[in-house]
Amino acid sequence: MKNEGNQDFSFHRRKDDVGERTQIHDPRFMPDATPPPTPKESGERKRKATMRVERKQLLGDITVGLRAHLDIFEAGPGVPESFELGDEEVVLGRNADCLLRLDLDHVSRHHAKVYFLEDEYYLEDLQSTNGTFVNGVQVTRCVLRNNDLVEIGATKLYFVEERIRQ
Amino acid sequence: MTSSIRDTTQRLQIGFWGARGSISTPGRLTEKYGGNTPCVSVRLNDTHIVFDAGTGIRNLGLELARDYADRSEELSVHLFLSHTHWDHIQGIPFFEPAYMQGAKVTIYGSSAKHGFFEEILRGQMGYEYFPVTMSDLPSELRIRELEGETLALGDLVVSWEEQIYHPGGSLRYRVQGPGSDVVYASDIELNKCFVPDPDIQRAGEQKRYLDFIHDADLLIADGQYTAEEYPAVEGYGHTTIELLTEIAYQAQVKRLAVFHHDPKHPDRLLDALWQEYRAKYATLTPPMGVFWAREGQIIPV
Repeated sequence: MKNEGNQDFSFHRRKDDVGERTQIHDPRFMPDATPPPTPKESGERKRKATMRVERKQLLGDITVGLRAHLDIFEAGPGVPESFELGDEEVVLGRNADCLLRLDLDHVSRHHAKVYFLEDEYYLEDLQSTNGTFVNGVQVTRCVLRNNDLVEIGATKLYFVEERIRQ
Repeated sequence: MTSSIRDTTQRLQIGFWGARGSISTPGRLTEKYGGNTPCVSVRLNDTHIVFDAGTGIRNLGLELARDYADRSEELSVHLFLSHTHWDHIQGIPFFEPAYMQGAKVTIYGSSAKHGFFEEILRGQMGYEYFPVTMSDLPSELRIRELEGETLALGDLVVSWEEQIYHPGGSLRYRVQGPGSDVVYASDIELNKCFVPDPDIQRAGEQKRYLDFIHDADLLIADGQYTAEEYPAVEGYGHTTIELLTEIAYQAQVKRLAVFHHDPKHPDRLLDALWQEYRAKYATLTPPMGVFWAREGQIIPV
């Protein structure tokens, strides 16, 4: 390494649990050598009052959440045109116990599910007979992205998400 | 919690954990197809094969660790590296199974490195690069240079071939399952091989490549550039999408996953390319399925 001016570069050896290692101490990258200021005497920084602040008040315009729904096409009578997604797992299928019931041909009793994990919505096929497709590709599981086209039997569902301030 | 994807139909489960080439590219522009570098898993029951250890392998490792946390079976992972360029190995230090006591992790690579394969991998986990060295990992970790032509792992058989049209070389792999075959052939510049009026060597390489991928149910292959971009990146070791699709169709591949996306290609461009090539090959007789590999997707084959 080139020694510039009168700066002092020193090489130190240190031992640790891994073995002997070399560290390069370059004054340019060392913290300021000025001694830390002495603590102020008590009273100088005396608190005058305490204000309780809600986290939401502080971060209200900063934290961002996710809102998502499924727009449903070609599903026939009795199926909503739109289905709001939340944190709850949603099973799609012909059975009456499905949260999003699609009582249609080529749809299995429990065909697929949508669930929310670590800020992502996932679609997972439940070993359906005719498969679950995202943008034309048969999937076992897929992270959903805005405007993905999900096909279950003849039903088409568009996944729509938006970021919202909380 | 993410469900464990286990096979019940004897179909291979192919997971895309990283599909980006060259360097990880997080951000809004790459959110859909993903910014992690190459990692693809092939699973059949408890046989786990992984191709490449780019940054995408981190998420695969986390899922495997969750899956096996409460199980009595020991986790055994077979990691096959195409080569040792950074974008294919940088995820190894963050692969959770390597930190699991009792887990078996075997890393396979080319014998063309003449004994240096293990040294290269240990080198990237040298103390000056990463605080945990390979010797400190609690799993049962082995590094093997591939010998022979095939390797049987459970109900799967893996075969491989050297690829010369990439700086430093690379390997392509084929997995033969009970009912389907998958080929992983990334990091090759087919434009250097598939030229008009090829010499004897190129003609031979063309035949080897076509034979290797022939009739694959799924081909995962390097399609980093558009034909318009190619003149500026000739010699970088990657293939144009136009040529890749032609070759795959010629070899009667059933489905093609275009892979190793260029870091400069945003989702919007990949969407447009997909639309164009999907339409083109879906209308041929016989048709060929074409799609762009996407991080976070597991597909049955």
